[in-house]
Amino acid sequence: MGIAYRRALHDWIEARLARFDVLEITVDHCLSGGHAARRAIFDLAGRIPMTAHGVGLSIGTDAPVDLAYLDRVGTVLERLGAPAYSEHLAFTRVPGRELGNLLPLPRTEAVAEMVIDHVRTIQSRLSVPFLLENIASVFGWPDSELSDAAFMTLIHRETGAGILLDVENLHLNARNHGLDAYGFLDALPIGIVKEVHVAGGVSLGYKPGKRRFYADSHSHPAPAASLDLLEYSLERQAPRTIVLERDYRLAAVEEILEDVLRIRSRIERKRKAHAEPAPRSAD
Amino acid sequence: MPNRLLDRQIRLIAHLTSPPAIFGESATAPEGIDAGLLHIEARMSHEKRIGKIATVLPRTFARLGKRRRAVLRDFAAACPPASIGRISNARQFQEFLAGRLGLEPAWLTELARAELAFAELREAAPHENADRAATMVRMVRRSPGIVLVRCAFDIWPILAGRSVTPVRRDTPLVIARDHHSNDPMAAEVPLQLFEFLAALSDWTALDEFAPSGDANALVRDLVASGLIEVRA
Repeated sequence: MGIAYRRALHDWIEARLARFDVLEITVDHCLSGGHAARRAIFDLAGRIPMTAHGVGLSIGTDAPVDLAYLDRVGTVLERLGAPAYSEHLAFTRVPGRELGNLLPLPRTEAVAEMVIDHVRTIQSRLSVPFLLENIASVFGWPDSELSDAAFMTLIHRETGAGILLDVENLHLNARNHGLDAYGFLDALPIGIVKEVHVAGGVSLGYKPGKRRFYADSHSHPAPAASLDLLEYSLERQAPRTIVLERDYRLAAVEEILEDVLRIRSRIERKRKAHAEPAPRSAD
Repeated sequence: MPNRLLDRQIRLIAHLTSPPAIFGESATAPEGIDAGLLHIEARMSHEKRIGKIATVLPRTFARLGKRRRAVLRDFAAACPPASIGRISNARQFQEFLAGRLGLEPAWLTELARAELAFAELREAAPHENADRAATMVRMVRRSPGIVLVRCAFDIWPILAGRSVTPVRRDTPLVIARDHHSNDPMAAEVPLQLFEFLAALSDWTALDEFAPSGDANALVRDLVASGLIEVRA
């Protein structure tokens, strides 16, 4: 269990390395962050296990994968000694324009084929396992035919790519769009989840159609409903790594430590219960 | 193919980066997707981008004042996002301000340029000047680790964190890393020195511009302060 490394927390993290089993490094911070930020990250390599996460690949863009970018990612993975590299099942850009936010894909077999091609390219280029993360989406494409779980499972079956399960994204999609989060977890093949993300978001006050909208803001303590999903997922999955993400309100470090303890407590409880299924949340 | 996914993605991102989608003025939406939800997506993405720019240009943003909404709207229309990097987005914004005729106050573009230079220096690897100990100096150039910003207003007090209105005064600034802290700092320099440094953008033979012995003393001083580098 660990946290996602953020430069603003470097000194705080470095002084508490023993509290974490792993750090998740955003490879794009190593590629395009400042010199000092890169050096700070690489100085930690070897002192604590690291896993690698990306935000700049845009695997869902219907265009050839950026091989030069992948090669640079490969170099970073080697320096970090990362055992896996994850990215979002999403797209963020088209040629000439970069939204900087994760957009969902139409969940069709044809689109899955495109992603499968891209995953195979990535797998042939990188030496560590590649994982895909489920995103929190603001909208959906009307022509989607497959469920979220079926879409991810199809890609997994064809490529062997595992899943980075973001339980907060799952929770948000349930709150915002009525997704059956537990049904999603039940539909995933056993053992497909290799890593997990936990985070906390907020309501941004947007009210389309007079309903509140919750955003994946990584700014607040993880809600109990997300931890319930984490605990439930451990019934059928055995992720190697569970990472707490936090991007805003970083000064509230006590909240971060408290979340780490809450997550460890859920893992421990599941370990003890072992064979007993976790109760479903009422949320 | 008329409706390949990439075309649909291009249409969607064009919509999401357009002012009507960002500011909630669009009743229509591509691909039959809910316009209200696309407004949320567009607004979140825009605010994320502006947040990145504001971390690079905090003093510029603080002084946009009542113009902020109009300026950001025009910026969104004129400069769609092309990368996720905060520096590159801030550079887009600074260039947009520089090209905006009649922007008031006029010193805002200079402040943005100086703040951008600070950020770029902070991100860059420290530049090791070549051959500081060269005894037979023949070539000199401006250190790539410094940035020259000539301002028509004295923006120095704002860079120093003071809340004042800059006065109109030719202010040649050199922005460079502090030798001790390694943090970027700005210093006003005499105009002659500024122009001398500006002329040294590439390696230049020393005797081309300074055949006298006095130049060697000047070169030594400038090398010692990290403003130029030399080679034999």
